[in-house]
Amino acid sequence: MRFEDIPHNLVQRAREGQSEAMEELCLLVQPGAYTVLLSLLRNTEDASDALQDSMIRMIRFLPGVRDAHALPGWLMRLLANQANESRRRSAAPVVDVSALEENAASARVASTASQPFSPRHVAEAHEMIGKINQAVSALSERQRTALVLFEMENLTIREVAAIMELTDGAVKFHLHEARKNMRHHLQNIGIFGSDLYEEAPSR
Amino acid sequence: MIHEPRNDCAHVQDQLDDYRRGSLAVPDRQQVQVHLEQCSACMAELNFRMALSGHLRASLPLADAPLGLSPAVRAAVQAPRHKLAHNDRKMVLLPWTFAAAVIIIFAVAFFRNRPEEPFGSSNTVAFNLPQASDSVSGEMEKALEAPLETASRAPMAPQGTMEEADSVVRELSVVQKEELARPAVDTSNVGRNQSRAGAAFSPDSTEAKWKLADSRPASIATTAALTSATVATTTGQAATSAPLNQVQDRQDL
Repeated sequence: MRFEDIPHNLVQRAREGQSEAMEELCLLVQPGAYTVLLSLLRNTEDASDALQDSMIRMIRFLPGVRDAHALPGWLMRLLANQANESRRRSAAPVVDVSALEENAASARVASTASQPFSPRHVAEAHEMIGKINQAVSALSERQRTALVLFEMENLTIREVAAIMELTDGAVKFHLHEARKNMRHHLQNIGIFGSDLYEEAPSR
Repeated sequence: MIHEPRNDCAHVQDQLDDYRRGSLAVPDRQQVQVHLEQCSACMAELNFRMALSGHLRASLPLADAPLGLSPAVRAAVQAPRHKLAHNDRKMVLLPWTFAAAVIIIFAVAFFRNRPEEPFGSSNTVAFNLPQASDSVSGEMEKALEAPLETASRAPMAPQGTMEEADSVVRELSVVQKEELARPAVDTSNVGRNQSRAGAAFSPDSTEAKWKLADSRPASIATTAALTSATVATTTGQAATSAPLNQVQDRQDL
């Protein structure tokens, strides 16, 4: 469920201290929050830890939110901050090149009808997925946050600016720099032009 | 609206995200399309952005969110929290704010019109403070009870009423000291004998605390009245804004 679709009366009851409403709110928020954190952290273990911390923060500070309409932006800001804090706590960016990524690679290849489903393709996709995640992890905090929120959460520049507490121009700059760095990384590892990936369809 | 044709690449690339998302107005979308058909560089940029978006999504680990709440989150849900919503707090404090304003107005009128009197003879009226409502949160009560830094007593301090003033100020929260430092009303017309006692209470560390009072009964009255209002409002505001401020403080993006 998108944060914007959470019922306002549920948010209000949770703000007023009703434990049942707060628990229901947490259950509604958790999946979307986990997706955002996973997009930002690219690591399931860090995302799980950050999710728990984010939920606890939401429970503690929700009464301070102005009203239910402010919840989506406030939540995104909380999650972005939590992701950055989690990364700073980690000794080094950990890219989870694991069975989960292998699953992603398998799923991706299997869904590409024009490609034969072979172990070689899966292995190559697995390797490329790992390198993409490494490239994302190598971005600065602001570049990564701007890129993920804009591209994966489909937010507008203005919405990203509100979450990151930057101007629209600053967000555009960080987005531009993130794309430039990603292009550099991905071209170095030969991802663009690979026949494993179809072009992403336009919206 | 007449659209000025701008086929330069910088302008087109600035619109590529809106073009991808289908949020451009029809005339602008048509202009971008025409440009893309003629400009391989901008077309390559569009393809790159689309591919990058696809790579980011495809590379995301396929992990589902945890089912249910973790024990720590569940414990946080069950932990006692402040029950009043933000707006409810405002509604509770509103009558006290109004009452405090009325007291201030009457106090100013009263002390401005009274004849000059020696210091210390007419202060008792200042300490009939309104009692906090039972509906005020426990956080406000804690703020009220928080100890203040206290000034050492000057030997020239008059007895009785200044001691009462001292005990009143002690009951205020540390936060209110700054409120006291800002005089709410012009007390310049109060008798000159009062300033002598005020001068005795001005060690550097506590000057701000006594600044408004300046050992004047009018100031003490307005201080007490103002304090009851500021305690009702400021502490309540601090209780509600502190969590969000704490969140915002953590935002160092």
